[in-house]
Amino acid sequence: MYLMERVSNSISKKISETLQYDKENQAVIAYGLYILIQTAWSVLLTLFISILINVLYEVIIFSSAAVSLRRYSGGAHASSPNRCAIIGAVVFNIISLGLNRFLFHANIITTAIFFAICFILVYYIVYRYAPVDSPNKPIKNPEFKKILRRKAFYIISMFLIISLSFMAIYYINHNQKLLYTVICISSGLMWQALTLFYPGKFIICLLDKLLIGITHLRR
Amino acid sequence: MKNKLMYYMVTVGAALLTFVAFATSVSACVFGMYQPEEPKCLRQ
Repeated sequence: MYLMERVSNSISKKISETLQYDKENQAVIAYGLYILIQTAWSVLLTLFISILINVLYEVIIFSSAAVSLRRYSGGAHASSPNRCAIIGAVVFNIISLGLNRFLFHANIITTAIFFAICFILVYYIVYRYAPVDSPNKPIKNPEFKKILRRKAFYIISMFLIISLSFMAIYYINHNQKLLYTVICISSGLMWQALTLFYPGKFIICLLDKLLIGITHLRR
Repeated sequence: MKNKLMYYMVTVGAALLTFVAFATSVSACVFGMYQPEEPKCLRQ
């Protein structure tokens, strides 16, 4: 049992004793608390590294896009909560650093091409593979799968409208930050789409194995 | 008085955590890259 699991189980037990809840309610509270702790830990680690390497803006936009889509599309998973936080922080920050170094001054044509390619691929990949479930949360109901896929499309469409609006506003005020934001949004969605099938799963699995290896070496 | 306040805080906390659990159960997975095991009662 992981530390986070132990902490959330122990707190939920105390809450349930105070409120005289049954075992089912206790399990629900423990699950909610686990998610809250895990999310907070992952977000803090990612933001901390992004501040250190000066890519906070990119990481916020990139991860917001990726995480919004992930809620409905599912995706590849790490084998432990700590590895999840480390892999998330490493991947988000490395991609953000790459965007900062290579696409910060991208012009409207480069941005438009990048945006178009990313969105076409994201729509196709989500249509083809979403939702991707995990052994800890299997999705068996076909109706639920349809709902999740539809919601994933809503999220992508929402970002499509935001990106198009930013590019339209760019023509008025020529603010380079708008184009850069479009690139960050497109990349975030693209990364999340990649985790739905082989390329993203391979990268996450590789990093996961690497971290397992490092943990074993330290022991 | 202090006990009553504590009781209210625990109740609000429990409601918030239940909301988080239910909100996650109607999505494909959690925000992060690790999915904890979902309680059986939420799977239905």
